[in-house]
Amino acid sequence: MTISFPRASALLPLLLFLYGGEARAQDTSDVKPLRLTLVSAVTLGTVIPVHIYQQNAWWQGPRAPFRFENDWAYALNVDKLGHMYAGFLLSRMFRYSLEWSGFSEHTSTFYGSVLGLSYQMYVEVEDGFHRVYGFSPGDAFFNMMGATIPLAQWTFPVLRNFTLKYSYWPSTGYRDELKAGQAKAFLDDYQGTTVWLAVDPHFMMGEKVSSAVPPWLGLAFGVGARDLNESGGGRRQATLALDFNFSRIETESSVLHAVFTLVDFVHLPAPGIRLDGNRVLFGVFYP
Amino acid sequence: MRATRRTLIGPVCAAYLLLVLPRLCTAGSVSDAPPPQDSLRQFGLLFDVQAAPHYSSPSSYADGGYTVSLGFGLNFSPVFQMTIQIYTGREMIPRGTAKPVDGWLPVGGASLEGTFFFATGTPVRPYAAAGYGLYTISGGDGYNGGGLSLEAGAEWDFSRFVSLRFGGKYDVIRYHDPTGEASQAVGFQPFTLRAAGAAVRMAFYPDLLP
Repeated sequence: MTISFPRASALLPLLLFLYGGEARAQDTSDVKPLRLTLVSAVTLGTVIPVHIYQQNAWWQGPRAPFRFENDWAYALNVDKLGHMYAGFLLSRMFRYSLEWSGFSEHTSTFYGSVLGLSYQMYVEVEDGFHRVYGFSPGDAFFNMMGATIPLAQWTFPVLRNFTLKYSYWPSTGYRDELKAGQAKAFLDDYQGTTVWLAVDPHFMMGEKVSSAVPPWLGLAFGVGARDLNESGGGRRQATLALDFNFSRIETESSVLHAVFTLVDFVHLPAPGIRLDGNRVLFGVFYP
Repeated sequence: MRATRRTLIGPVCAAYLLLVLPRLCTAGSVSDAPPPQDSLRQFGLLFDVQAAPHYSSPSSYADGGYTVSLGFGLNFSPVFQMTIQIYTGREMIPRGTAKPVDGWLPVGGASLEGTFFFATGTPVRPYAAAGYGLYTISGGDGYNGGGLSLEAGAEWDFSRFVSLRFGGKYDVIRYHDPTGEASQAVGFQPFTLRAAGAAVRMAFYPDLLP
């Protein structure tokens, strides 16, 4: 059963509030209320436990008056890239959920970014009340950049050949903290994190070369930091590696397509060249 | 005398930017600019990036500094838009002042800003903007503040999606010591930072509303 967008939007008051009256007439959405309800329930069912998890992992202790804290140098900036990735990931996930609920691609992209950015900013505002963290304008900058990437890709289709990916392996320090029962959120373990800019290079190749290279094969450039210490020191890593774009594999199965799409948020182990401090390394790298 | 001159520079620059620049911008030499895109300046999303160097009155403990901000918001009509700005930057706190820390200290903040345009259908539109924000100067435990910013200038629509804005800006921000520790240590009192400067903003109107 399907109903028109204006009626269905009543199920999600936020969307109704955000939606411009004039634009509604042009919308091609064909919203499925059951799916939209399911998406709303799953979203709430995820946001609330994640909030509780963050409350325990990050926001414990006495709260302080709201304040800002510039932390541009933290984790050699890898945390900023992490914020960009998180904004991008959330916006995309919201977009897919809305699209599955029957909203048009354009509407889903727009509200996906709005919801992704809203969630990221809520986390940042909560940090603002923490005695140590504070609201980081740098984090907010990168949240905004990440969350608006899908909008930019909508406006400029050539950008759809680029995407952000993530790889993670718990660092020794984090594993030690886990054993000692002191570990916080793994998302803060930047020594085990690499954020990748992946590109599908086929759009730059001629037809002849493009047809010779498998459509799922791409390139990725990753940035990470290791041996971080309290005084802001550490070692940067930059990696250029092959990358796998599973969503370029054509399939009739919608389940398989969904799996491919999800896997494409992660950079899998692949051969490459890595600049690690002053050393140059060749190998199969992960993360 | 030097302090007087320094105190005067900011307001004079601000007055120039407020009163003279908009007239210069609308006086001509814009005939080659693309036609106005009124349809894209109606209701719609906008993003912007802004840089604003400023000069602070010495009586307010700072010499000057700069901010960079990213913003996003909505055009409600061709004559009104609102944005949320996230700021980062640096403020020069000279040595020998009452502050327990000095040097180029990090500044951060966020504000809600509204802009009124005084013309529609022209490539260059004079504007006036006002905002209220929350800010922090880092150092020690940091100094929290809140205050008003006023801005005026002209915005030039030089392409379908992009516009450039030049303006003069005046901020009045009241800071306080959140923990009281700094106040106790050095007798530091809450202070008001008055800063005048310029603002350059590039805005993107991507026409993305579904």
